Amino acid sequence: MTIKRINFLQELLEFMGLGGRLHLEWISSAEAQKFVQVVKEFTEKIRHLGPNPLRGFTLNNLTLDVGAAAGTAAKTACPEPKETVAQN
Amino acid sequence: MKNKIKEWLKSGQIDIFLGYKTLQGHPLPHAFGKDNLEDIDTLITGSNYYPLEKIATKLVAEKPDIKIGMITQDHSQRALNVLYIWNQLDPENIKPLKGDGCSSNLKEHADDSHREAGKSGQFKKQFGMNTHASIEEAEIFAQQERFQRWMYEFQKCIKCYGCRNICPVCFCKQCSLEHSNLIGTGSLPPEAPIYHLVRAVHMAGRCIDCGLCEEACPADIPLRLLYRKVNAIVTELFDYETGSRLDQSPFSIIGESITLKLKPIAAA
Amino acid sequence: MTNSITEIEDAGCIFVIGSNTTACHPLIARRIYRAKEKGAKLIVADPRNIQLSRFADVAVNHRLGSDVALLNGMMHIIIRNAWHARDYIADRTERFEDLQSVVAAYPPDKVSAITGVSAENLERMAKLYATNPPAALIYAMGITQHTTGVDNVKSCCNLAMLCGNVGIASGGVNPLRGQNNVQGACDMGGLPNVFTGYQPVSDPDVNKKFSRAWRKNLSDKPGMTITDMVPAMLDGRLKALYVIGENPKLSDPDWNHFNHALKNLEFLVVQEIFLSETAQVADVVLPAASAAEKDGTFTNSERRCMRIHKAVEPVGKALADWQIISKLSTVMGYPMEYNSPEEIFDEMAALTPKSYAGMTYERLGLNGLQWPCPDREHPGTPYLHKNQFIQGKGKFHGIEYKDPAELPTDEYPYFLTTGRMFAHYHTGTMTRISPHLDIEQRTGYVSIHPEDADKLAVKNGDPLILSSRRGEMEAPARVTPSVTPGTLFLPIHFGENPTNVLTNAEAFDPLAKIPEFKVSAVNIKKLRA
Repeated sequence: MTIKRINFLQELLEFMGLGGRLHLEWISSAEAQKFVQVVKEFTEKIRHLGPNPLRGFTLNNLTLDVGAAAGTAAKTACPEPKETVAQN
Repeated sequence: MKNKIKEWLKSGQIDIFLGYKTLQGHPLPHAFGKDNLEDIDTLITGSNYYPLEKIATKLVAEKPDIKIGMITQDHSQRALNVLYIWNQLDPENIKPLKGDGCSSNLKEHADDSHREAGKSGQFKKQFGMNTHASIEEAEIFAQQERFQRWMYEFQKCIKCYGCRNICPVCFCKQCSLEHSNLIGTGSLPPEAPIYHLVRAVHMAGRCIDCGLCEEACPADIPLRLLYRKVNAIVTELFDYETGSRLDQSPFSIIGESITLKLKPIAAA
Repeated sequence: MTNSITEIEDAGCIFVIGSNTTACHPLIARRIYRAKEKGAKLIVADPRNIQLSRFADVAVNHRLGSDVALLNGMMHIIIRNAWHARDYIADRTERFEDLQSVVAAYPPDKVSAITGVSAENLERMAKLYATNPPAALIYAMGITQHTTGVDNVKSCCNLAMLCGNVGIASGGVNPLRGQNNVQGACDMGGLPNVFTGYQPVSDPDVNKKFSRAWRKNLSDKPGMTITDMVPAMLDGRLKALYVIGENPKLSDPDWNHFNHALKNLEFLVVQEIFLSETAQVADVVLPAASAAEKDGTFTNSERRCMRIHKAVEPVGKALADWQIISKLSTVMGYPMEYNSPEEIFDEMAALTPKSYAGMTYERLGLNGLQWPCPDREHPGTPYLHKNQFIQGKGKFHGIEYKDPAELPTDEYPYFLTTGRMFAHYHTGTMTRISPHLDIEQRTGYVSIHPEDADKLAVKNGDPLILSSRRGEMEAPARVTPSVTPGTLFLPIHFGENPTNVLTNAEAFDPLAKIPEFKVSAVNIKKLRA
């Protein structure tokens, strides 16, 4: 069941453009070698994918990149999309 | 049809009937009771669609034994099936009456003629997600661009909860979308994409593709496209077409022999 | 609004200034989104980075209270490039020279120095607005709640007329009203100087007409605005106050000053649906029916008068406002014997020939009618000033920039601005008792830029003390780049963090008497070192 659920999430994230950032692996407490190998591989992969595209993302960056040709590039300093929110 | 409803009410087969009636010019959902049978003559049919099933769920939550008759269309029959499966309604106590109007069956977009198809102007097509796109068309874009396009859409969100409030199969007493440890509160837009992802995940095994969420969305976010993908994954992985049968949802079954292999760490 | 809400979708350019539209007028924001997605240009000028800024072709943070300079700067550039609508100006407007001579003195470098907006962005704003007709100008309280509120509004009108945008579909000058029926309340004469439809009490003919209709000699002297009432309460000229559906203890500037005035009253009556802060200190509270519990009409931002229908019976002994007022008036010696809100509406329409005369409940139907609707055949008016301005010629005003009443000093080094956040409404009387909205935001907060927070070693959620020349209050910090360095933002909804302790009752527009809620100078310190 876990595999299916994780598969579901992997495919959904892929559809959203966040593919490859979720991985599932069974490792017993006796399989130290496997643990090391999986963590290494996944770390390598994540490093290759680069930083989380959420960080520093703003629509204005997007319009800057893609919209420059359309002449819609005028932008001033813009907010990060995610406000830090005070928890109560 | 009206006589049938009157008969059901008179004979006690049902306690109330959920249908539509024009009030001050607006076609609105209405509960017809046995105390006023003439009222049934004002029942209207047509392509109106409000989530009557959700109203039924709320009535049953208050009066568990109430017997409800209601007008159904294809997608509302699917909604009822989902609500039966999740023990929100008891099929013994629900008497559906097939109405005319829409007959959507997980098919093309906004097939209800009265419903305004989501508008996709040139800017939206250039930078966002075309509301009319098929799953395959949405998957043409490479990962980075796909993500930016969805983020464009999600950042329009004004957190009105319209998608949830109109949804016939949203019935949870506590909603994850309102859980401040999961999704930050107090700012606009809501945390993207987590707000929309959480809702999408919760639509697995639930969404019956009625399109009401997208119709309700004031920001024209292509929610139906997103949840259609959810349905497609559910069908692929679980061989389950949400709402089509009365089998238990794959998401409420514990334990099953593993037939899938774990995915390898593919090269990026 | 001169124009209609749906028209916004078809604008070529939308200029939003002083309106956090997605949070405060979300269904108007929907039209802006749609216009943008169809290809319209979007300009957003706001001291904060608001949600709409992300979708803008140009988004600028002009310094608090510098709106006149910003608008003059845009007009300077438009005239210099001859982008203005010369034929329109010649045919339909007057006093263009007044404007021309004033804005000539607002070149980009000077405007840039006042507003903090770069010369490049000024040029872009001017060009986008002037060259993408029809251009709709949208503003809200960010324009009006200033000592220069009237100047700001006139400058918006100048800009719109300069480019020929008044009197055309999808253009116009569009103030977004803050309540569902504030337009209707003003139309009904809920102002100290006018009867219905803005007919002046001091006009002898008008006064005679109403005196005859109401069989009573009516005063021809304008009454007091709320800004005038507070000093009158303090010096004893005003002994009793009757408050209907307002919570001035939270919504009026300078909490300490206002409460002092309130204590001086001999009698306070509050008519409310809930026990608001003001109702809690009233001598008498009259329970009023809510919107869902009464029949009548609402007139919204786009001048559309629509029927409302009672959905549920009033709770307890609550009555519709019109019933309470009628009973009270009858007891006080002037019998009002209306049988329904429709009778009152018909009387009002008959006395309001220019705007409401053509309306009846039956004609309002499902979609309502937009005034002016002068006769029974008239279809209503989607946008004003078509072909000709209502007053004849559109008049330009040369407006000089003036500083806000308070600027930061060594003692009070921060700018403070106030406003709404999306989950709550005004003083929270209605929204804070909704569990779903309460979950969104349970307490007040003060938005502070990360740079300022770093300087003061303030972390998210740290309690801060804010002080102004009027008083001090406490609020937890929300560290966010949505405000600019040096500027703080406080939402107005929270009685336990009352924003109006800090705001200034002495600073208001000399004409409109609207307080300068949008600009104060404050200091902050951490509550615990």
